[in-house]
This record gives sequence, structure tokens and C-alpha cells, in this order.
Amino acid sequence: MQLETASAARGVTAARGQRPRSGLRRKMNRAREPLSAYLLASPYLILLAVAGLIPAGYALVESFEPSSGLGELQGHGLFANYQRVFSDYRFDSAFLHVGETLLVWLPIFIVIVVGLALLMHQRPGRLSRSVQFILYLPGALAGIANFVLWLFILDPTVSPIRFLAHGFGETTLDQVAQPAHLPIILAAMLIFLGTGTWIVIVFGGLNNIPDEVLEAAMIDGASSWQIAWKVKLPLIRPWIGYLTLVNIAYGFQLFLEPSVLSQVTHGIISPTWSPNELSYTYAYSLLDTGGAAALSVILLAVTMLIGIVVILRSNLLGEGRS
Amino acid sequence: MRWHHRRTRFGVALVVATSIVVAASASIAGAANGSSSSRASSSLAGAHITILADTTREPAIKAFEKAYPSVKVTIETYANTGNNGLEQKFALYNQAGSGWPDVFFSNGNDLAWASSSKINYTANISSGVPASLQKGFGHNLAVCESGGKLYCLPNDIGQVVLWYNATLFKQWGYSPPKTWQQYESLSLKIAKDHPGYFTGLAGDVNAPDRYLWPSGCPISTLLAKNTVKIDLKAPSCTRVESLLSTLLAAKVVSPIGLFDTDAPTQVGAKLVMTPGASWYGQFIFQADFKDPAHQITASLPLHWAGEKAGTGDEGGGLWMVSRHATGKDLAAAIAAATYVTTNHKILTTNVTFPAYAPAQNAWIDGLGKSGYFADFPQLKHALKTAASEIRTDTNYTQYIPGNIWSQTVTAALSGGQSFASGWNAFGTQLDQQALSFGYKVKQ
Repeated sequence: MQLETASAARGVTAARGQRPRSGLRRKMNRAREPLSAYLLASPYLILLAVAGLIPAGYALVESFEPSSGLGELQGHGLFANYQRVFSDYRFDSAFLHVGETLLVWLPIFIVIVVGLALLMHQRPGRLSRSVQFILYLPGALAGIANFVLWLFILDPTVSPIRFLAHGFGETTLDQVAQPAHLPIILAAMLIFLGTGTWIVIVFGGLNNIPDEVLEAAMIDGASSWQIAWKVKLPLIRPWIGYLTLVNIAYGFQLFLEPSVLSQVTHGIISPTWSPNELSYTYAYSLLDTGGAAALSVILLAVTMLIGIVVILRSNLLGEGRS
Repeated sequence: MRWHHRRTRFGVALVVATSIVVAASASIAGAANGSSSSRASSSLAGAHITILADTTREPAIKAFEKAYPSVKVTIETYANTGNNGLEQKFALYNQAGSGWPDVFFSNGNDLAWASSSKINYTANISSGVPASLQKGFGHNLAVCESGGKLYCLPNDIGQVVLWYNATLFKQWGYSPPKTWQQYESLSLKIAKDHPGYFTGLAGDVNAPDRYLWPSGCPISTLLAKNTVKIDLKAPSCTRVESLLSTLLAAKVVSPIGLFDTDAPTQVGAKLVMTPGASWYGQFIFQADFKDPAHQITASLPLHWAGEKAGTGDEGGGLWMVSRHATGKDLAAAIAAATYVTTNHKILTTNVTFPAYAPAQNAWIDGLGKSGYFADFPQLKHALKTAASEIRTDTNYTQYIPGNIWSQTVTAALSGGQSFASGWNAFGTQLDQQALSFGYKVKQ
């Protein structure tokens, strides 16, 4: 049953493939394709260079430059800045914090997004569309507006869900926004913010599945659960990979949410809670640009490494076959 | 006829003589305020200075503009002191090589980085400010002095006195404590006899200023430009640890902070006694906690029995002058800083207590006009005495003990952990932060 469905899938995509054209048209198409592709991608490429590649290169160079005026912390050698940053007493805990947050947030987020997308795809109709719209709304609001909303939700003195906090015996914002609770709080915020947007994207992946494959599976006698688990899910692996990649990157670079929470709780949350905040402190409080650059490069390396693993495992950059 | 002539001539001479005398004395009087500054103003003609300050200082700057009309002043404002963005600004000015304001108003923590070798913004203004005026600041000038040089002029001080509710104390038959030991025993008495009332708060960034600073506990004592003394095991620290630990356990000192949004509801008018800054009267008791009038007063700051008087300082602004200003601009900048910190009219209308001693009595009298306080003569005496008793062995450093207190002690208290664990974390973080800023730490 499975083999038949899979081969049907391949056959359909092959049938949908390019029809052979005449020689001249083929040459012209091939010549035109790269140019139009470059033209379309050029604004993005320019911005990527200016706001991404050049600053990253500058940071890399800067991270090897010796910093000045640091007294005993100066260090020697090419990797002095890296050594100093590694041995900073806040380095380990900063990465631990974002690691904990990602571990709590990502699995729940992926399950919710993919699960809801599959559910809605299963039952297309007005209910599904209106639920999708409602879920999308938080993401459509500007980021900081959402965050201010969450400040009200978190403060037990004004929150509409204060019974939850009271249930835990917490009556003030300081008690709720404890450093130990932060991974859960951030996970809740980010799930609220991102679910709607990512359902739309995963939905797009689901719509890409040809109907013939699904019909073939139904004819073979698969139940809805089996179709979702064994047919749809493997076919949207690249979309799940994209979902994971982008959100891991965001999670590692968390800055806004812990930073504002730090100010709102008058400093109970450390202002160097996340690696990005620590890098900011290096740059503008310690005035150690070499250290800040080293920390940025470390962040970049970690995120890229995880990104490569995700891309390979999810076949994100695979061929056009879904 | 002859008599009439003589009379008339005499009369005219008298009138002329009188008017000469009047005019002469008017110009002498004018020289005391008006024309001396206008003479000084004209010597600064052509100067153009930029002043970076918070919005509360705008009236003072505008008064300077009026007194020195030939100096062109551009005002740049920021929302409030102590925000990170300011150091960022100056780091960028240094990188660009231009853009520094000629006068910069901020607090002691910002002075620490502004005068550090990294930012290196502040000018030595000791030769530009008249010695007589410098003397008027007394000990309060110490915050601006380093290595025999003067790097700023203090604007205001928040000297710590002992605030209390005179009405309730009279009702309960208490008199305000004079020593920290008496403060502890009276607090425990209030905890027993009148539970639900508070005698202090421990959870805000100013807690080290009002509890550790008056004790002389070394958490940011500058031994040299880049060397600090931090020793939480010193007796002057352990006695405060024991005091706060006892009072927090008795629930008579609140673990929340003075500036928390729920401080008015959780503590509010139930705060019957607390060490606190000169500005507590208007800003905390009157505006924030809304205590009724004629109840709140203050007495002399607490001291440790057997030791001489010494108190702390909860914040205060200061005016810095740019090292990069030259010629007439530099002179105008120094004139501006001097004017706004020593002019009586400005100082008496300021919201906070002036650091300049000759203006202090007038400021306190202005406070009394509101009629809000009980026992005003005692309050006046307390504020004036405490103003010259601020200990100079706690200094402003690039790391901020108040923020570290929040991250460690307040976090422990609000997270249900013990004060002792918070205190230990406080000590560890002080060392680590000091080291990360490049200070040498000595015990």
C-alpha cells in the first residue's frame, strides 16, 4: 500500500515535469533564466551584503584585533578576545539560558504549528479559515505592541489570567518574572506570536502536495491519521526544517524580550541574560569591541552549525519534488 | 528774593546730589548681580555651547541663557539619567572624533564612565571655578574630585535622614531612634505590637545607598583610579547583613522595592519609619504613598552607636564639562556649570536638595511652605545637618552596586530564597563585575 502510493507520487511529479522544448528555445530559456533570476534576487543580495556579509566579515576581523585598556584581562595572542569571552563568568549561563528556552519552546511550537496545520488541512472550510485568521492576528501586530500586551498578561495585579499566577502563589510581577521562570514565559510569548504566521507557511507546504497522492492513499484504505503521519508529514519535511531553522536562529539571538523584562522588573532579570545582551554589554558598557565581536562570531558559528544540521536533516534545499 | 534764589540753588544741588548718590548705589547694587554677569557675558561673546541634560534641567539652562545673553546655547535632552544609551552616544562621539556636548548633566554612575580612560570626556575645571564657590559645596565636592583635580560640579544631593510618621509614633508612645541599634530594636517592637506596619524596604536599587553607605561598608571604595576595595566580610558590612536579615525575617522590612508598582498598595501608608533620601518627603510619602498631611517628618540620620555621624546619599546629579571644548566655548561651558549649581534662584526652585550649602536653608524653607510636613523645624535641622555628613568612602564606579543588588538580593527575596543566599551572590557579583570593568579588587 505504501509503495503504491509512493510510486504514484513520483509518477505524478514526473508527469508534471518540464516538457522537452525545441533546441533554440531551450538555449534561450537557459540564457534568460540566470539573468532574470539574478535581477529578481539582486535587491536581496545587495541588502544581504550590506547588512549581513560585510558586518559579519568586519566582526570576524575585529574579533582578532587586540582590545585596549582592559588591564589584567587583556590577554595575548590571536585568540585573546575569544579566551576572554569564554572565561567571562556570564558566558556559560547566557548560552544555558537560551538553550533552556529553545528546549522548552521549539518542540511545543513545532508540534502545535504542524498539528494545527494538518488539522486544518484535513478539514478545509470556513471554520478552518477563520481559525487560521484568528491565530494569525497576534503575529500581524507589531512585535513591540505584542510584547507590551504580554507585560500586562504577566503582571498579576492587572492580568486577565491572574488566577494562574495566584494558583502558584505569586502576587507580584517580580514573583512571576523570576529568572527560573523565564524560559517558560518566553516560550509562551513566542508561541503566541508565531503560531499563526507559521501555520500559514506550513499550510502552503501542505497545499503543495498533489491531490492524486492523497487520493491514492485514501483508495489504499489509509485512515486520516495514517495519511497525516505517513504521507503528509514526510512530504512537508522541508517546511518543518525551515520552521526549525528560522526559529532556532531567532531563539539564539534573543535580545528584546529579556532586555525589556530586565528593565520592567528593575533588574531582577540580569541585563546579560542572553548571549546577544552580553555582546551588547561588551560593546557599549565595557567598551570592549574586540570581545563583543568575538562573542558575535561565536553566536554566528553556533547558529550556522545548527542550521547546517537542520538543512541536511530536513532536505530543505532538496530538488523541486515535494 | 535773595533767600528764594539760595533756597532754589540749594534745592537743585540737593536733588542733583541725591540722584548721583542713588545712581551710584544702584550701579553698585547692580554690579552685585546684574552687570557683573553681563560683563562676564560680554567677554564670552561669540561662544556657542551645547548642553546635554535631562528635561528636568531645562528651566535651569534657560535661566543661564537669560543671564548670559551673548552666549549661544543649544539644548539637547534625553528622557532620564541612568539609561544605557548615553554611554553608547559618547563611545560613538569618540569614534567619530566630534559631536561631544560641551556640558553634560547626569549622575555619579555616568561620571564614572565619562571620566574613565576609555571615554575620557571630562575636563579638569578646578582652575575655572572660583575657589570661594568651590568651598561652598563643602564635602559634597568630593564626588567630583579625583587626584587633586575637579571633574564636575554637583547639582543636588539625596542625603539620607530618618523619616517617620510622627502621628503614629505619638499615638504609640515611641520617639525616633538615634542609632541603627535602636532602629533595629524599635522595628522589632513594632513588628510585635503593631504587625502589618513596615520600617523599611530592601528590594530596590537604592537599598545599598541607605543601608550600606551610612555604615561605611566597602563595596565601591576607590583606593586609586582603577583599584577598588570590596570586602563584605568587614564588620561594617556584616552588621548591616545581620540587621537586614533580622528585620526581613520579622517581616517589618519589606522585601519589595521602593519604586515597584505595587509598593503603594503593599506598603504605602503602612511605612511608619525608614532611612531615606531628602526627596522622600515629597516624592514618596506625599506623591506616591499619599500619606495625609501633617503626619510625616524626619529626624537626624541614624549612626552606629559609639561612632561619629555619617550618612549615605541616594543619587544626585552633576554637571560635567567637555575636555574637547576650547577657548571661549570652554569658558562658557564652565560658566554654565558654575551658574546652574550656585545660583540661588535656580537652586531654591529645584525639585531636589541643592549640594551648594549657601542655598540650602532657602530650599528647605521653600519645602516648608507646602505645609505638608509635621514638626518642620526638626525636619529642617535634620536635612541641613545630614547635608554635610555624607560619607566620602563610598564612591561611584563603572559597576553599579544598586543594579547588582537587584539582580542578587531582590531576585532571591522575590524568588522565595533566603536573604543570606542573595547577600552571598551580591558579594560574588560585585567582585566579578568590578574585575570585568578592569578594576583591581582589594579586600
